[in-house]
Amino acid sequence: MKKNKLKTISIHTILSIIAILIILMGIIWDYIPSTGIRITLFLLGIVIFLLVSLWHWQQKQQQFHFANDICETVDALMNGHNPENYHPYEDSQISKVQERLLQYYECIYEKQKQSEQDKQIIQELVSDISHQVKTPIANIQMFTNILQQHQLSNEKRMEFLNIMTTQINKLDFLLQSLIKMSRLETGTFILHMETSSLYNTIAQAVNEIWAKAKKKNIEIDVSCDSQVTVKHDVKWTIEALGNILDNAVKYTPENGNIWVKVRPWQFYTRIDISDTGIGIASKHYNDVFKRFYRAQEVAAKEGVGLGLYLTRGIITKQKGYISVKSELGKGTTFSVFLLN
Amino acid sequence: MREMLKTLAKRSFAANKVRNLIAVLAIVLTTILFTSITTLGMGTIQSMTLTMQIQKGSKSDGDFRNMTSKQFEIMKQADFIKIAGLRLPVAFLSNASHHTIEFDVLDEAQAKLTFCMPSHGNVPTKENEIVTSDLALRDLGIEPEIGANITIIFTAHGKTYELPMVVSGWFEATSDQVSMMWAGISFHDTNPEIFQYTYDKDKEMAGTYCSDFIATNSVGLKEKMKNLAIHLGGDPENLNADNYLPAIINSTTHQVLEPSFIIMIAVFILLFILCGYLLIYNIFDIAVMQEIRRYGLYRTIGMSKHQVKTLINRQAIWLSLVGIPLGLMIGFLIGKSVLPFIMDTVSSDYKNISVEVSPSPIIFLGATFLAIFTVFLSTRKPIKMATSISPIEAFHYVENSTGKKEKKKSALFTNISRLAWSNLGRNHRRSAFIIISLMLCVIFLNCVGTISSSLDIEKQVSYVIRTDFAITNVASSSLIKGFVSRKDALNQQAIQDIKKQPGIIEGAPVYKNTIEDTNVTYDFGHALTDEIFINENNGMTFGFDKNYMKFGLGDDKRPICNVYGMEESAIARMDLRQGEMDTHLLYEKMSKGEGVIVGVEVNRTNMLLIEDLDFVDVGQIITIYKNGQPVKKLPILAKAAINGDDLEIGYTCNGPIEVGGDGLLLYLSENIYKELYDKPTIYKYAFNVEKEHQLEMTEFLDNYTKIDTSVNYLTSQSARKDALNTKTMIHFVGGLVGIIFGLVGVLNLMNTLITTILTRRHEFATMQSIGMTNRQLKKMIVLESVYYALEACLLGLIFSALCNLTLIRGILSSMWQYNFHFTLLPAFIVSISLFLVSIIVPILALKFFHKGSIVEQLRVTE
Amino acid sequence: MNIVTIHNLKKYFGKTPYQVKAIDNINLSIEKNKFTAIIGASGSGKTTLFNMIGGLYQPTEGTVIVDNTNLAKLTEEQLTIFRRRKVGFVFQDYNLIPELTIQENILFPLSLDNSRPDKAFFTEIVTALGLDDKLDKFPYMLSGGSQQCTAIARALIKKPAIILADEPTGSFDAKTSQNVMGLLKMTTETFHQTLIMITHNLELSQLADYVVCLQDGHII
Repeated sequence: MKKNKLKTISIHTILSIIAILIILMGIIWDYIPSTGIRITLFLLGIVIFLLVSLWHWQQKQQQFHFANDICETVDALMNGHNPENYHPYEDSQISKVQERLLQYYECIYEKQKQSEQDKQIIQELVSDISHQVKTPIANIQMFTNILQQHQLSNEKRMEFLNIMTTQINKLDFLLQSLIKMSRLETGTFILHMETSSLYNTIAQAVNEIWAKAKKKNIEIDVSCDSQVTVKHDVKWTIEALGNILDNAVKYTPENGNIWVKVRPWQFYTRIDISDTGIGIASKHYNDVFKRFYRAQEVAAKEGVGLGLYLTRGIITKQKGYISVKSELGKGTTFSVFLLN
Repeated sequence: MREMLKTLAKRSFAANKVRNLIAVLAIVLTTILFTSITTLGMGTIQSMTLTMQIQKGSKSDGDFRNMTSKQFEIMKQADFIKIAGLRLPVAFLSNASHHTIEFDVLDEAQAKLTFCMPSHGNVPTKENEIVTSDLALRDLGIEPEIGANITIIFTAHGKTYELPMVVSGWFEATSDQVSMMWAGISFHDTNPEIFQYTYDKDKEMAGTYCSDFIATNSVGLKEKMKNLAIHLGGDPENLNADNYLPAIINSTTHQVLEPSFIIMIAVFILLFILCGYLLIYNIFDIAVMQEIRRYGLYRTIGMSKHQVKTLINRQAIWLSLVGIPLGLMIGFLIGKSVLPFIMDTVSSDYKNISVEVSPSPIIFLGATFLAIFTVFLSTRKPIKMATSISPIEAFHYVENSTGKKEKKKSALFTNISRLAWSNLGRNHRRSAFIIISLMLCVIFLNCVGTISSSLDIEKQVSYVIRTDFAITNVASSSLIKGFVSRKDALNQQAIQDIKKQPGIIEGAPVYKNTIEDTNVTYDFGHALTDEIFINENNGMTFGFDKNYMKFGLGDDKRPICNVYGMEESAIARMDLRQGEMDTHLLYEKMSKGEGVIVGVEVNRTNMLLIEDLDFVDVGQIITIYKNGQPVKKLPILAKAAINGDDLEIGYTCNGPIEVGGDGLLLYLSENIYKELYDKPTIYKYAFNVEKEHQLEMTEFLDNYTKIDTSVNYLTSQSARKDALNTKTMIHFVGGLVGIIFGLVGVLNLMNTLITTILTRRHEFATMQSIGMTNRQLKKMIVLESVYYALEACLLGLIFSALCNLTLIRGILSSMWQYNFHFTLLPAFIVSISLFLVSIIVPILALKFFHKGSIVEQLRVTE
Repeated sequence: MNIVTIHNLKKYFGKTPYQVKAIDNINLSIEKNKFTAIIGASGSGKTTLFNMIGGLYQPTEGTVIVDNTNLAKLTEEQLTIFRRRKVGFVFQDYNLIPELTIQENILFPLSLDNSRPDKAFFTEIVTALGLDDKLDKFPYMLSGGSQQCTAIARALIKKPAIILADEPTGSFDAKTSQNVMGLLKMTTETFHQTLIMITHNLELSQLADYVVCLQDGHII
């Protein structure tokens, strides 16, 4: 705007100067032979001068109206109702600005609503977490009491200590998950994007669940060209893929299969992780990525419902996306698309 | 961010080179038309004005005369006077022989205003220095030379002066009859006795102050001048008043344009606007059509109507910025070079024509305005189409396909010519434009051909002169003066000199009565009213009959008529209509005093005698009176249709009007004429010359008339040349317009074909992929183009015939120079050439715009 | 929060008895900042619905409310401005302007509104869509996928109320299709945009938050 203003000012000034020059010429120029031309010049100068002044005045007036219109709009929005002078969809400056203001207002309004919602969610979350934490802590307390107050045989003691370790591990897992989640939420989540072998990443992710799978006699089949490289954060991608694989192992019955398939595309590298598990109803495709969502059918299984939420967060942060496709009872395929 | 729109306009402009080329060509053509017409118009007006000013001898806005020096001083200070010249009239030289020489004292401003500035030498400064024209100097017996000594004789205030003077400079004469000779103010200072103001007592001009002036502006000039004259104490109206002070506006400077001229210009401008519209509209229409999907997209993503308009307008402006200046330049040059032709024909009546046109801003402003107007007019509809198309329609837009048509009469067998034919109807308006412009080209050129072939040159020549050569006194050949008095007689010496030349046959002098021959009168039983008028210029008395026909009257108040004395060879050349037809017998009878021939003017259009002027019948007896006594009673033997040559010479007829008026033209034999008139005067010597000596004779006469400035000559050759000039002009101007329409048509055709090739590329590729050969494709396009041409030519021929039989015949029948002659030959020639062009254009277009393999062609589909 | 509300919408073409009921009494709400897919076979009326949400057609009956504005009440010129400011179009055949570079193409809708682009936002979009090194190229120099990305960027740059995509991947093979779809989904999510896509591809529609299925002018 500054530039524009400068430009208009100079045009005004130049025109005014020209006008004055012409007027002066009309008055004093002896070399112009005819009085007729002199008078015409004089009048021309005055006319130009008047036109410039009129133009200037009009611009001022326009600015004035423009400012007032905007103020009115803002006032109306502050009072929470639609502005009266709203001109929707006109090819004019005021219409453009008003629309932007309304958009901004709605944006703010929604953010406000969103944060209220978030507050509620956090409250629920806190009660949720307290619920999740209560049981292991109660268990640990109980076993600690037993261990302190009763003389037990070494075997018994070992057994209780083992139980306690499990509970502590559970707490630790929960805590780790919470830390990750909070990092994801607060944005203190720093990705170290580097072009590196996707094969290695997948191998490490599979490694972590290898033992569990072995236990359930689940076969894991990875088809990935060792040459494939993708720009990604190795540590967090292992975490993300690990979560999907963990779920796959968790919800796949014994003797099942898990396939990991990598296909490099023009923009994305696609990683399909399929299992022969219980499957997800299509109406819950979106829900599985929500925080603390746990399907009714799997309530019995251990878990906090944070894994896929984290996975999606990690993938999206890397400008990738994830989709799911499933058939109930037959299996699920999670497709992770990583931007090349 | 308006720059983006600019970028877009710029890039899509650059991407459409072919269209731009054609559009620029169209705008150039349109501008050429406007510039040339405005140049011609302005040039004609300027040249006519200047020519008339030269004739009048002043380019001032007006002049005041008969002032005293005091009045002059006041007049000079008047607010509306910008430049005032000073002229102190002295007298007419009495030692001039044929030329009229006015001797005045002028100042330089006056000399400039009255075309008297010396082109050789200097303005006079010493009291014995003069400047005059070459003709005047020759008339006074010396060759135009600076420093030559000359004696001038004149009378002022009743006293005759004979003064030796020195020529300080001279200029080329602007008039054959009158020249100005002028001395400087110092002459006034050394001869104060000449410049005594005595006008109020004896109407002596010497001593009065006159002034030609330039006004500051011409609004209400007449009124201002009159008021000033009254303010000075003069009387601007009463000619006989002692204080008569004429204040006369220069009507040649302030002339009113003839309405017919304005209408002609207007018609041409309208025609050219139509022509430009046909062309530019079509180009923009095609351009918009081609990109209609694009405009749909623009509208979809939110470009407002105004922005679309801006986008197209911007491109139109760029095209105009290239096209208009180019057209202005070319048009001006064309206009300038055509102007002499036009002037030659428009003003064959004027001598000393000066053809001039300056690159006045009015021409360019006018032409630019008209060109911009046309571009604006022609782009309006395409713009409207581009802005108003709904986005969805635009996406599905295909030029009106012929689907419906084909359904109606779908045939099992489709051949290429049918395919080509059905393509014609794709866009009705565009097809119509092409056909109309081509058709107009055919019609126009045919009309031009018809007009020029109908132009009867021999008729014009024979009207102007019946013999190969004729010489007269310069007065007789002047439109203004005419053969009036005995002093306008042809120099006897000239006849003798010519007779000495080889190859002369049938040379015969013609005698005619003058205003001095008032003692011979005629009675032919035609009643006049009693009122008698006097011509103040020459003292002739005249009366009228009940139809207000003018009759010059003799001393006894009977008509003196226009009486000619001729030899047999001259009588033999006359166009006899009634009575005795055998010219030999006739002349015998005439010379025996047994009768006369009566001449009646003809209507030049149908060459029939004019009834209003046909007062007498064959056999009627005419009584001739001399000095009031009847001397002869002659019967009318025959009636002749007379032309310009019989009347006077060429187109002049002022002499007979001054002398006998409308009353009766009598042709007597030479001997009878000499018997009747005391001082028979020869006004013309007409003669034929053997073919091989004609050139020689022309040369001789050319030189002779330079030496003896009182003699002028006319030849049938020059008359023919004049008439041919008209023909050339018709060819040139008509041909130009016709060719322009042809060009418009061909350009439109080209444009349409290129569009066809470009937009139907995919269609062609499809056809070719299913087995159409390149040859067949070419044939299809050529056929399409040929159909346009054929349709146009056919319509053109029909309309040409209609036009010829109605409009052209109607117009020509009212113009005597023409003899309507039906022809379609030009139309046929034009049709054939259009036909050829219609074959060549598509072949070239295909060659340049249909490139690449079929696969590529298929791929460019949108 | 609904960005689009459609109430008793009808759109008929032609006159009885040849009347075609392209859209027959549809009620629909589309949630803000979500991805809604409208699927249906060709001739199901999905393109008509699309055109009416985009303000390209006026309904025969009923109302279409987009971003609190009843489109039926707007004049033609207002609709144009509406499209300019509130709707980002992504077409099957990209519809880029061949004379403009990729950058100019993207910024074109803003320039129509005489607006100065938000530089940071522009860079963000362009980087996300992988166009940052192609900005000075012309459309014909790019692959179909990149051209469509340009179209997506052009839709996003004005921060519209809705992005309308009509078979955005219709002219691609399955692979490119997934690619472009991913970018479209990713970017609309990243920049909190409402995406409405019509397609006949069931697999692609699974990426959507909501799926509306059209058949013979009705929602099923």
